[in-house]
Amino acid sequence: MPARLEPAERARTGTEGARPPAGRHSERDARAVHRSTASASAMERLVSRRTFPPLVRSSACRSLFGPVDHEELSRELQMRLAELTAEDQRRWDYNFQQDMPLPGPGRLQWTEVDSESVPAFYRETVQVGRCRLLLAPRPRPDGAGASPPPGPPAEEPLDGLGEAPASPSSGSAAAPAPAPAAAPPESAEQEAGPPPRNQEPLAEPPHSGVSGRPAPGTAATSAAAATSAAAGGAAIKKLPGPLISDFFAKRKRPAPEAKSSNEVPAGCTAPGGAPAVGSAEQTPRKRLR
Amino acid sequence: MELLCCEVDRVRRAVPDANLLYDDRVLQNLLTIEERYLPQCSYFKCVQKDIQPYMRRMVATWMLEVCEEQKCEEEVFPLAMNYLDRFLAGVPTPKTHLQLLGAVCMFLASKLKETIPLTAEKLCIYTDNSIKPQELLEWELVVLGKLKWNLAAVTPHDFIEHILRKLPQPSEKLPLIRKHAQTFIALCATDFKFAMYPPSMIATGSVGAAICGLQQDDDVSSLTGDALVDLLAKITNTDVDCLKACQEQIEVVLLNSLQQFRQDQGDGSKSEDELDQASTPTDVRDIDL
Repeated sequence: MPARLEPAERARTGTEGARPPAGRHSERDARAVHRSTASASAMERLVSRRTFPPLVRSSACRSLFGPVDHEELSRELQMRLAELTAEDQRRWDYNFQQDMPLPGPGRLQWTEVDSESVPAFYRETVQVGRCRLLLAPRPRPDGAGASPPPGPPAEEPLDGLGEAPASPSSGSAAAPAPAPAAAPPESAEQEAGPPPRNQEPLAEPPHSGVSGRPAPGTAATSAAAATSAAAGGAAIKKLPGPLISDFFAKRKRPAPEAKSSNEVPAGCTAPGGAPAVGSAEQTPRKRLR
Repeated sequence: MELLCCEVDRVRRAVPDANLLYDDRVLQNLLTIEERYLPQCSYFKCVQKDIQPYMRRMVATWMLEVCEEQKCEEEVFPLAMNYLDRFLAGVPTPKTHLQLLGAVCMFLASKLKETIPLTAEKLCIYTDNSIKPQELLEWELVVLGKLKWNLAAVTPHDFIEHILRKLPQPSEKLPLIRKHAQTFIALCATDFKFAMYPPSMIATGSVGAAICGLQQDDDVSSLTGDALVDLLAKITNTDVDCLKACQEQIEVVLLNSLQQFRQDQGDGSKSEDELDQASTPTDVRDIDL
């Protein structure tokens, strides 16, 4: 039985992958260190976690509610992801699939700024192997441009543990990968060589992130920029279109009003079609003890 | 030998930080923010159509077993239950997806709190392979989105040290009180009654119940009865009557749990081995009522 489980043990995801394979070592160590009571509990834990996969049919290995319909599960997943995407769109007045601000008067008003004028941290990067390259600013496009169809998020290894943090705007993060091919290669190369990933381009002054121009103010702005940075991994794939980082949000209305417009009483009676979805965490509710 | 021990002791814990534990502002801040992380409604009444309270208990019991078998940190289980309740308060979920949700919540809580987190593969094995690691990772994103990425929820464990240090107990008694209180907290997390209670109240009630329980064999406390409850209530600004009610409920849940355990014990079909993994936390059995 342990032999059967071993492959699964090896094929760890994300963070685990970086760790040394402790399995066999700790088995040996366990004998060597048995006298040390200080590390006994740690040993116990290690043994339980790694050495002999103890899941050899322990009573805890059980299916609680019968077989899972994987197709139904997948449909439900798509639905929930679409909800989250719609929610993000509402929240930011921004279409993350097309990387365009929503037209019409919304809660936020987006203003285009030159991507050169923001700290490097907020700019698009592209990951090539273990390197992360800064993209050159692209010419101002006209109109919505050709945006690739939003792909099914299921195609992406959504482990959320790896290099790129899974972004809240799941829809855009899931854009299919015709990316690097579609990207004009020179745009990636002209600005920076292959620096180690996350390193800022050489052209940038060392403190560009801090000393940058006065940031345009509101919390919404920096949050929006942060979102764009998070969504960056996907947005880079659509070079012809404008980028979220080309826009910054300005709060149109004063904060309290905006907040109250979001508020949904007690999560049970959300207005509109989607009952209670997403309303749950909107506003902390004060409760009397 | 020394070197070997260091090498083996991979589970690293921070030492207790006096700046965090002995500063009242930390306690006050915890009390201020704790209610933000409570589920927004009693979801069996208004959100869930398929899921019944007994199913929550089933999945909670299973999660506790997994956490104990994997020797997770104490906070992992209550934190995972917090995620589960908050998700269910907003998203109608069919019962066949409940175990997947429980696994995702453990996955997230473990990543937040542990140096060696649970792996997706392991959790899937614990569902008797009724779900696939890929599904778990995909749903991780949904749960994160629905929780608005607010994972650092306040749990009852956050209050334990703050409460214990203000009690006039002899310091040699504290480890036992702490251990019992932790067991009570886990017990509370399995019971939906407590899901809407502020974590500080559960922590205070658990410490109270632990001291009362231990008092019967031993002279644990210089305070008795009402004086103890008054002091506890003062520490966490909890209403005395609420606290008394909470403590009584905890004792009832403990009693039920013990009875359940004795029934299981009477059931001859279970082997000694299985009993060891029974859902009742080990320590509960040691408490003599």
